[in-house]
Amino acid sequence: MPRFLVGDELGNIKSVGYNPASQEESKTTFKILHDGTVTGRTKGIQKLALNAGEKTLLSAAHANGAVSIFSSNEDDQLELLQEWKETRIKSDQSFIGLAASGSGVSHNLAALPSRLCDWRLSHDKQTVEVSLWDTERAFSRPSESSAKGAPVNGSKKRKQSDTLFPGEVWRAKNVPNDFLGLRQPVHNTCLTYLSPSTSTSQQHLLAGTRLGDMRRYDTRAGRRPVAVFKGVGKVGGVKTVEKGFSEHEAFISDNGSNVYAVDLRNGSISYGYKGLSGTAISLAASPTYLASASIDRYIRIHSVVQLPDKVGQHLDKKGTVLERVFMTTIPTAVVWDQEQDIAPVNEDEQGGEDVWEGMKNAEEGDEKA
Amino acid sequence: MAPARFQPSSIKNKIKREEVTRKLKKSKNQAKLQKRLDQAKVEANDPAAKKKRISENVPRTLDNTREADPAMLSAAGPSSAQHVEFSNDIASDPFADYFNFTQDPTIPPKVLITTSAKASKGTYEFCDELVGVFPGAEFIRRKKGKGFEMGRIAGWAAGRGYKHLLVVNEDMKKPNAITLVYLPNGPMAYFKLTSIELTKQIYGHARATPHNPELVLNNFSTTLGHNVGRMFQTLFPPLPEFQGRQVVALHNQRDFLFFRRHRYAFRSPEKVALQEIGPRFTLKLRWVKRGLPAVQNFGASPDALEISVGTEELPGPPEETPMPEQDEESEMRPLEPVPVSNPPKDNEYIWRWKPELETTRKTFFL
Repeated sequence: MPRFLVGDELGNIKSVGYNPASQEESKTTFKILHDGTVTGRTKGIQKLALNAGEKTLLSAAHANGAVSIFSSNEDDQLELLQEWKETRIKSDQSFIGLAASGSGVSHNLAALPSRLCDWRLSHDKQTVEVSLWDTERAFSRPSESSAKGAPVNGSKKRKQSDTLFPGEVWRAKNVPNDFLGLRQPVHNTCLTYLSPSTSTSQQHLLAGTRLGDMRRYDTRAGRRPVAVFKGVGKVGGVKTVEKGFSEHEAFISDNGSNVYAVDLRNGSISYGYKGLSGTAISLAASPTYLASASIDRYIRIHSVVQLPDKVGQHLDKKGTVLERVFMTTIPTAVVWDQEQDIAPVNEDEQGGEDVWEGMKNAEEGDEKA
Repeated sequence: MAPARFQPSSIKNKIKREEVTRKLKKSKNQAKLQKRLDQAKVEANDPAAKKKRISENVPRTLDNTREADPAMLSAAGPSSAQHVEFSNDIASDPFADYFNFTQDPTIPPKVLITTSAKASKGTYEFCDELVGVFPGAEFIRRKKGKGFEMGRIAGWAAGRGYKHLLVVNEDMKKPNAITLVYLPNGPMAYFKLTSIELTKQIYGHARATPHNPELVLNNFSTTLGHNVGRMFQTLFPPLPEFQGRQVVALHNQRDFLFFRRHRYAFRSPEKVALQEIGPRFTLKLRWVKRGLPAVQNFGASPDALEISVGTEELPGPPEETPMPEQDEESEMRPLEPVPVSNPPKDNEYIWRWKPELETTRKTFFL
């Protein structure tokens, strides 16, 4: 039974579990894990990240710059382990990425781990290309303050815009000029990782743009995008992109009320989910289901359909919205619980075998000639 | 098997057939009338029987067979968990400032009314009426051009202390939609506008006066409905002038919002007479978006990428400055400068009407 953890604007953390085998009318179970209503919107959750090690740790980035780490205890409540405040964050800046890994989180800087981090467009309208940073190198000189939890604006200008910043490993290059010879504008809005190989140095990235395109980058293969999938975000550009669990699958949501599953082999939309009335601002994929949090105050559980083996083959079944759960406050972030499902015992098969064992064996003389 | 009833349609002669059906129908209607008269006679003597009959025969309408919607705030009472969470949510939403009553409640919030570009006479007349409806409203003609997008206008208006921007959209020389933007960076709602009747078109209309009206908001049951109702509430000053005896009603029925403005007069402690003032129109909510209207500028060149070097810690939240004496003496504190935010690049939909959402005739969203 996959479970998704949801953070919302008032700072609550709730869990939504989906049990496909339950016979009741509503297959979801809904529980409040952490009640933050008393603090109002100042402590609204902006990002959630989960690390499933021996102990499941959940880190949450709040709107007032605080970052807290929770762990879940036996009766499924969340205990606050640590909390600290990013004092450099200003009122109109927001956390843009949060990731959790085994080594935990460093105290000096904002919530960033020892692996790679998300870059994203900030509030102050900066247009940046996708870039990859090695956070160990970047954070080894805290005096230079490359806190990547907050977007950049500030005093020091680089002389040449093309040299890499300290700690920056790779920066993307823009697509070639269009047919009029004009530079194509860069407005990246979201980012996710696909990792075809386990080595951390080669990563494939997917970035969505405000014009509705999705670009796929390979950090080893050069700076220009490997593929550009046009027209994926239909209304207002791509809002979030999330990698699915099967290969070649990604889910995107745009600024209208659309969530699509995209086949990464040819960049076309395989299917879309119907019945959403608001923008989905956060998606979380689990091996069997997809959860979306949208600002019309619903968490929806979607079914995920296996993509066909051959590219472009017709899909018989499309994904549907299985259930929706109403949240009284606007949810802002959803993550998967990362608890692997126990393979259900196949009782039908065993029952079938009993039937066969109970039968008598046919003998030679039974059959009449 | 019961014997088959005699059907007049089996008579082949048209004249005779029509005669027979006419007689049959008349006798049926007479029987029904007689039954009702007898019932009325019984009830004239026994009012309890009438009450019983009325309470038993409630007609089934789409409104009272509405589909149960999880977004509907149930009648479970103000102490239920959902209500508590919702009131916390409301306490910090963009409209919460209005309900804190930090300023003089009789001062109306400023509303900027404008049209789409190149409006015509019908729209200007409607805007004239709207300026009369909202006490703090001002009409400004909309200019046409690149720098006058709705997002930019919203930014300027927010900087000049306006609380709302109301844009009346026109199509084919008639106003057809209203976009209401809550400033400084609040949500925006788009309504389709139909059935407009101006004051002069209403027979026997009353005269409007500049008093602050009272407000009646009917039938907003879901969270979306509450937000729309609150948005509408913030258009008027919190404290009405009861001496003006004017009331503005926004009545929601089946997702249509009916706007009416009346003047009331008490003829006796139980009886009230209503006289309609002012424009009458119907709104239907199409979408609600978050933030100010987006302004796109794709061709702008990007700024150079910079890293903020500051490691100094910002000062913590300022301590609460005690101001007990000032509140008693002066009613109005000087307004703090409103932080002007630039219009965003894109908007997210908080709610959007799509035909696929209307799964049955009994689904409503407000």
